[in-house]
Amino acid sequence: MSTATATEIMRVAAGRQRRAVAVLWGFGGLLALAFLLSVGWGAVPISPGQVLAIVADALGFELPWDFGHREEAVLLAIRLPRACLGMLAGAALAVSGASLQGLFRNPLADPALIGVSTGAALTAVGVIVLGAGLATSISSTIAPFLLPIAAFTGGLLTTLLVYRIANRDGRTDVATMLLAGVALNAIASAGIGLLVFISTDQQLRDLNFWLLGSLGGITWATMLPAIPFIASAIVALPLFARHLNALLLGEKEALHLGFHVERTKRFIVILAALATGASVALTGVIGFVGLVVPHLVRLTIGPDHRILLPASILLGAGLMLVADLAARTVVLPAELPIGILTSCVGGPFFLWLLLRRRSLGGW
Amino acid sequence: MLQLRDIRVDLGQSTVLQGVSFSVEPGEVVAVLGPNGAGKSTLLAVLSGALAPRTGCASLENRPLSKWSPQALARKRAVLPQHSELAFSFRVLEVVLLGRSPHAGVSSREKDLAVAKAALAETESVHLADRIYTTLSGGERQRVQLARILAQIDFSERDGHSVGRYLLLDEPTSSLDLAHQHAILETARRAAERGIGVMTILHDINLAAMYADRIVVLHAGRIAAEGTPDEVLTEAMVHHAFDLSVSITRHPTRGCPHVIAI
Repeated sequence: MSTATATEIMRVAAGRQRRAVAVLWGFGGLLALAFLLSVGWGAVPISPGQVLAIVADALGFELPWDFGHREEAVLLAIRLPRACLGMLAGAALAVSGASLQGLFRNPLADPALIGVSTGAALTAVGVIVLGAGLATSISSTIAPFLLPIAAFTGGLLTTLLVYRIANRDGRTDVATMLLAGVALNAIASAGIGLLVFISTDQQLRDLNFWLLGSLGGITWATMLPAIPFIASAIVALPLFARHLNALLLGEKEALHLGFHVERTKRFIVILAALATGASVALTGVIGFVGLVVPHLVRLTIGPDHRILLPASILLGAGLMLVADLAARTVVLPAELPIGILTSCVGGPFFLWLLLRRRSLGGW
Repeated sequence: MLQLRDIRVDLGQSTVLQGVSFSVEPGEVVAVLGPNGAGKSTLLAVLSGALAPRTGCASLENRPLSKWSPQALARKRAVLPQHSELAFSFRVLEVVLLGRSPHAGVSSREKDLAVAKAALAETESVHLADRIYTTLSGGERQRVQLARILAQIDFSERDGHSVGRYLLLDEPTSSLDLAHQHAILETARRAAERGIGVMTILHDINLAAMYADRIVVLHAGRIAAEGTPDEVLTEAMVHHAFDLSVSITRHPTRGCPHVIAI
């Protein structure tokens, strides 16, 4: 082999690595910007300096920026929990979307699209509507965990079901997967409809906003029980990056490359269902984040999960904040449910993907 | 030595392999022939360790495959699939580097890149390194997959025959044009000259006659014949295994048997 080709390969490899690092920094910067905008923007404006000072003050430090009690109250009680929820939910949906897409070897496996989110929503609605009596009978320490656990169970069952239906001989049939998702969405929606039908007026008002997806009205106390579920998935899923890369070749090929395929599949399904279920429990169904975010990342740096997963976490968190900012401002003084907004953007994106796929022959 | 002893495999109600004893030695190319449904792919699955036989023993270096850790086994033997379903837009170099997965934690990035580079050179695909895999032709894809499995077993390292490495190829030439068919098998031949044991399932009897040291004919889950191309490829044997009348001549330049359907 000539040295020209040798340096060529080194150049290719180094170029890919530089680009990945640049993209990760870019997404990180975007997230920081979106965060400051998200907590600063609104009826009570708070400058980035004040944000830092208030947070530092709450932690017992002092920084040289002045702030009033009003800013402090708004930031700590309303904007900060909302922004944290947005980042957690965005990261959770994006990283589970990216992982499920790797597992299914198909970039259309969005948690909402294949019925996982709706399955989680069904069990969560069941707890809200039917659980009123249940909650009083169990101890108050477990009660706050009931909703995330229910949503997780629903999400897990749906994921396993879709996987079982769509997978034959270690290959995923795309059409079957999407159609199974359509069917499961229909079944779960019917179940939700039934529960809504028998709910009381008060429950109905809670449900309605929640089913359309919203980050509003969150408090630290309601968010806390779901955080361990989401955080563990966000930390653990990227550990399977190499496994997912190998799985893209096919399950048999991953096995031949020395990976424990069955064990890996189980972990990924459980972690993705954990993240999706817990975030659905808090925000309702917010569609297409898990589809759009990993796709945007793949367009910039390719499908290598070692970069795709962390980049999806950063971009998912950032885009969710941007979407929430838009949902809060486009119909002032009212607030648009964020799920409607993401579907407005995600639906056309999905169609564009389908058409592009036809001309390109690959993802 | 990669060895099967008295293997029996049942899938559902039917027996797919029965009484199969078979081995691949370092430095040889063994071609497995047989009609559809004879059990060729099952044989490969057992040899690779992906499928445990119901009775009998599959072993590598006299150690049962089930006793090997998947990662250690993956550094010793690699499998070329019939066709890959990779539909994500990896660069060719990244695909070849996937072959280095079992060496994670053992090898360095420099070493991985060097091996990937050598594997691409071996399959004459260096110029494809920065191309997107999904935009390649069928023949180019197969060459890249071959480079991936060569990189997986450190093909360019020379070692004593005691520590063997093996390539298992599942119909590597199906759906390829003539030039690519020969290119793939010539690469397999060169790998054998480096001491790697190669087992390949083939449909084309004449390709087997040209490139294999040894031919094994499977028929209805049993070994119907085994030996050098000259020993195995007789009119009677081909008629028995494939239910096809043939005439056997000589290859004009190589002298190996050449099978013509009549």
